Amino acid sequence: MSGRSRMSFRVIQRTALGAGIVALGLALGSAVLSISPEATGLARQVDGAMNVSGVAHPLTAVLLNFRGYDTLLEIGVLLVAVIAVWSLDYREEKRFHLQAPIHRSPVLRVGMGILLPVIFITAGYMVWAGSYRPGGAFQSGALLGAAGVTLISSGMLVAPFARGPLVRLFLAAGFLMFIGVAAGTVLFKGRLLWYPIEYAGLLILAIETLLAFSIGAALTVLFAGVAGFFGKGEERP
Amino acid sequence: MTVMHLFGLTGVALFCIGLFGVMTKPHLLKKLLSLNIASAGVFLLMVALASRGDRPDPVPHALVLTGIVISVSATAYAVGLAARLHRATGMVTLEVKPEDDA
Repeated sequence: MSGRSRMSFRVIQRTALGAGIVALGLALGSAVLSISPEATGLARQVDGAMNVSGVAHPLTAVLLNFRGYDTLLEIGVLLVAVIAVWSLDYREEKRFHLQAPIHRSPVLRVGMGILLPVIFITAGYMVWAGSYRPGGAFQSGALLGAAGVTLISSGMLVAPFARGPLVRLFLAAGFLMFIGVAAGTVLFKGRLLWYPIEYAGLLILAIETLLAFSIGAALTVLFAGVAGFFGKGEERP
Repeated sequence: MTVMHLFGLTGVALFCIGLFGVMTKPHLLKKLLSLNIASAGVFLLMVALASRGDRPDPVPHALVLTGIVISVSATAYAVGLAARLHRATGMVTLEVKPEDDA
């Protein structure tokens, strides 16, 4: 096939694909327009069950109580992603870590000293706020992850930092706690993740705290694991 | 046509843009970005659906929050795979080189 005919074949291919996607968009768009603006959602059912949820914010009640197994599996997926990224790096290859700009910039060091405590306090507040207003483990974990990414990119933590027992404990804490509670509810209440009403608030707060740590650690480790593949830094001794 | 419909249509448009990108961009990072644009469109549609009625429906919100975390972990793994591919073969696409398909 000559270069020119290959080119025109590509143009035809693109045009056909574009037309197909526009048609799909129009079909989906008309489906969206046909949706009634009247709600037939689950807001009422959630409101009706709030008194047994143990928390005052409906989103947290759905995430940690009514559909707790979603969140349980989600933290499992996060853990699997960490294991998968870790398993991508082959030992026989030389790995690199990011350069450490912290030693060269006093401004960065002082800035981090101001920023990090604010992040940690906000993350703690987020977990607490989740029980009665928007917030919770995921927002808090995202903040902790941001703190971890900042630490790594500033060189205060070495990128492929130790996969030691402490990091692994942080990673697994949320999942283990959640599994433990789930097993407990199966044993004592007979149903998966049916919390006893009097302890529901406490259990949710405990799970959310550990979830926040695990999510923060997982996001940091994912970043570090992936960043470790881009070899622009110094060789590890 | 309400605000909910406007957000829903925006979600559909983002999904289509992302889908086009996934199917036409050979560079793996561009494919990943496109995939994330498409999933942002789906999330936007779901949040728009949840906005109907007198108060927001928390169930789709919870699903979207879960979906965001899943897509972040999947994206991180995919970036890791792409970086490994680049490290191993020096390529950033899955395309077969023209001289190979003789």
